Amino acid sequence: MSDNRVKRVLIVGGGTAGWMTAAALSNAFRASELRVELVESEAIGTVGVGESTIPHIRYFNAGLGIDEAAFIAETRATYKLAIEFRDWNRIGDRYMHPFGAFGMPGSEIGFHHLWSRFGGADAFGPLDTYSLPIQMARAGKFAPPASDPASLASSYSYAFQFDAGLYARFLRRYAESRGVVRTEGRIERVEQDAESGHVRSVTLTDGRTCQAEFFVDCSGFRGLLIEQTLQAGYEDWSRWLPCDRAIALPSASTGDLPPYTRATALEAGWAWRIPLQHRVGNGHVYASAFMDDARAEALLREQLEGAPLAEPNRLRFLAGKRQRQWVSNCVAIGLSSGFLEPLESTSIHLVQAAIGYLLDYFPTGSWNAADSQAFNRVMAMEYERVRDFLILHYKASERDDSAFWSYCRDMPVPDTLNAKIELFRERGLVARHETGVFLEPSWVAVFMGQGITPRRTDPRAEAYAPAQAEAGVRALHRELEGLTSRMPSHREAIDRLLAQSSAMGAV
Amino acid sequence: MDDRAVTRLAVLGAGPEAWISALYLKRRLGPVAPEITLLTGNDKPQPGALSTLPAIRDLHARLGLDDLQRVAQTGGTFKLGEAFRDAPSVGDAGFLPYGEIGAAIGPVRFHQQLHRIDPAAPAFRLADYALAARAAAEGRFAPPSSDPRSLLSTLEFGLHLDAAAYAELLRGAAVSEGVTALDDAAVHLAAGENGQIERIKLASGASLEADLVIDTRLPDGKPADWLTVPSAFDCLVEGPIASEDPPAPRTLNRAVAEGWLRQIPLQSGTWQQMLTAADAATDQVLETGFGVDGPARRAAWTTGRCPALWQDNLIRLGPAGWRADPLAAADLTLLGRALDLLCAMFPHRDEGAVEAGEFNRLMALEIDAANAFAMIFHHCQARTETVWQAARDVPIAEMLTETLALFRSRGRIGVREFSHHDETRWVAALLAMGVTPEHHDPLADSLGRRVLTERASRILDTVAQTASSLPTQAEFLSRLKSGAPA
Repeated sequence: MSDNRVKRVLIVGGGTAGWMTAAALSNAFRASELRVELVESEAIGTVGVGESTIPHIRYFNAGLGIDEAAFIAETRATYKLAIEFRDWNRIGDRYMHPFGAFGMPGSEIGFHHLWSRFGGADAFGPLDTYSLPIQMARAGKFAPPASDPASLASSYSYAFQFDAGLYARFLRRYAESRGVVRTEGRIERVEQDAESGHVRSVTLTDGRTCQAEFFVDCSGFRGLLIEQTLQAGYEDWSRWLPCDRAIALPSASTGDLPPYTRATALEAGWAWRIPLQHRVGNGHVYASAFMDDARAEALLREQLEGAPLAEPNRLRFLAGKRQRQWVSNCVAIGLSSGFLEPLESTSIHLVQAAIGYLLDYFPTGSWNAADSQAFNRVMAMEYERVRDFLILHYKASERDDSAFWSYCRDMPVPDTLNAKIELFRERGLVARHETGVFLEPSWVAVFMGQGITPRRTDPRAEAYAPAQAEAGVRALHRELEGLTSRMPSHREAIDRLLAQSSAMGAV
Repeated sequence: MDDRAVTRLAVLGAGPEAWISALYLKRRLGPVAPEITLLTGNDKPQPGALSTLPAIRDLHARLGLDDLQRVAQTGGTFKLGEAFRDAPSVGDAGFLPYGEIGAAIGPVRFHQQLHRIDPAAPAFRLADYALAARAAAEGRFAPPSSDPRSLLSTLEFGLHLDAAAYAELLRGAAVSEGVTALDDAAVHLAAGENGQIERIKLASGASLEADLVIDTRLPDGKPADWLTVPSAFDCLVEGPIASEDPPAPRTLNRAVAEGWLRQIPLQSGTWQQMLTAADAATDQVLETGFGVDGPARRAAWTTGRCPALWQDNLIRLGPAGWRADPLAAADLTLLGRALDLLCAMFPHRDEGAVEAGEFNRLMALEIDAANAFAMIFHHCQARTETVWQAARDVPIAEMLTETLALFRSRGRIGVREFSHHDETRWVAALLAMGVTPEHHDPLADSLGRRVLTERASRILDTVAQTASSLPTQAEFLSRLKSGAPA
């Protein structure tokens, strides 16, 4: 029976995707005979844009048995409670997409219905006021969520902002200590089986050959195996997501340590600000059809709050995904599988999702198209649902100050997104799906933040008398403020954890 | 109150689906619930039995009917799963248990462990590791324990219900919650200029105004616009048969030369449904419904659904909206799902088009998934009679085609949206029908055979011991009826 087993997996390319895959495979197959190898070249830079994450990363780390304090110390990580969007709907607007729902947990009626029904911003101030993670983010506080699901203090989750290069190194040590063999070298040639077309081996510039039964392409944008060899094809989504370039430029910390990522809309794209322990990650994602590189760099430099720490790193991409992310005996993970701009910090999540599904459908060697089909179907769904969420940010904007924003406002969007927008605009409902990373609270935050307010609200909100609703909302606000004020600052929370982690290291 | 609020709701029908709809909305919408009037007049629910999935218990909790005593008093019995006899082939026996089966080790599912221990072991052995299957085989039943350390906490159960007595129970609950029942019949739904129904003309000559109408009545014949599921079986013959003594806590599906005999045990007797093809059975079999006591009820059968359950202010639920495959046992689960959605997206008067669109999209997924699951039993059998061959050759849902390919390869189900059942139940159904994986999941290679073997045999022992410690269903029922604490 064991003859059908894949005995060796070769991961082509290191970087975040490569080492996350290596770590996960070495852990899942720790007691089996599967050999995991990784080939990478130090001469090829990694992109490492995905420094901001969503809460799922914690499950990935926990699955590997990684201690949170050690992880935070090693990757110079900070906590993340939300993303702040500035100037997206109109210049001067700001809203947050928090990791948690608005209002009290466990309520059957979405808080946005009650808020809208009983007076909205005029009566109660911005919706943002009624989210614990947003209040914590604005106050620069952090404490882990409570475990009692009925408690308001449990109404949020958190993610991290970290140095992706350090994370890759951290996972490399993890993987190597579990038997993953790393080969340094540049790949010159890929050999395929003449009959089946399967990838058999890769040959390095120095003539060495690495063979395997299964390959994971983590070679980045170019897709050395998935595209250059197996010609998976690319689905171009740039008509909906016209940004195709990015410049990344780290800067010195300014003392503040905000527990959130910021995305500021600019003339033809947007700029990110990601605070880490030791520096601030900055970048500008823009559409080259609407802005030249020099202007893009100038705008990015205007955004910096501290001194630049390096030369700008420039990237080119095309929004979309490989038509098939698993072809014959090769699966693409990371940038080789597709690209969606990091507006909602999904790059690392899509890597993580692909690894999870790869483990769900891991092949044994007697090739069955059902595995790759199932993988491709579910990954396409993950990509499309993130895509729709990203497009929403551009489509639902009233900005008309540049050709770029006029294009975005007027562009036709996928039917799936149109239906979602209509359902919310009309009745404040979020279309239900079972797959897809962003759940109802995320959609509500962005719909409301981008100025799409429901025309009709949940009839069940009528059960409350206006005075009763108002008293409830005010009490909620007091409780939120009380909880926030008792929390340590984000800086204190990090320092405390680092002290604990170094004390543990000393034992 | 919002002047666009739905304040008058009419429910058409007299069967359990009508009463459940009225009671559910009355309770769940609470202070904003509309006035609800049930028109029972032109619906004559037939006697019969319902066999439900464990999800009935969530529905009952929402209806305020979660105490088992009342179920026992209506003549119902408990259901620990679905048994199969002479399927996939003559002489075979299989069981689809409710609740957990064995125990996963990390990401390695239990059936993968069994395959790793011995790939040649008969597939249907999986159910041996489920408490539900073992208890059902011994005729025993007890509700699940809330203590997570007890194996009894892994149990789930559905119900077998006497349709008429159940409708009576629901009627009492609905009326006491303030639902009005009129023994009058809707003869015409009069629409206003905007296409929305405004008034229902009644047989008595009176009329009833309504902002929203829920129809649960069984349509005459198959409505022309329904989307139907292809099937080799087009005829349902049902009636009571001599009862098993005592009633077993499971539904039995016997495959015979002419089709399926589905036997639903009630306290008073067993209700049998014969799903067959009119041209595959002799007149005598069709007349007697394969042993029905007294006159059998015979009707054409089509599995299918109305393409748009919710149109303007008319919502078709239950028999008016869909017919799930009898082997799916899903009718009340689907109704509960529909009512849950309806509460979450309750419309305003004259306005509900986006709600209807989203409701219809989700319900189509739910109904189709339930039917795709039931197709396992029709498709994955190996009997040789003409009707069974035809049943095998019927084109199956794409969802099932993909699932079968995945499962036959390495015993995996994969991620699916709206798959109606969890992974365990898909696996158990496939194995019960003799669909076996060629290989196991390579993740199972990390586990040693000896350790797995010992663990599996310990589970088997615990299952046997726990099952034999339970009361028989008859004992449990009589304890319930006498009012003793369960």
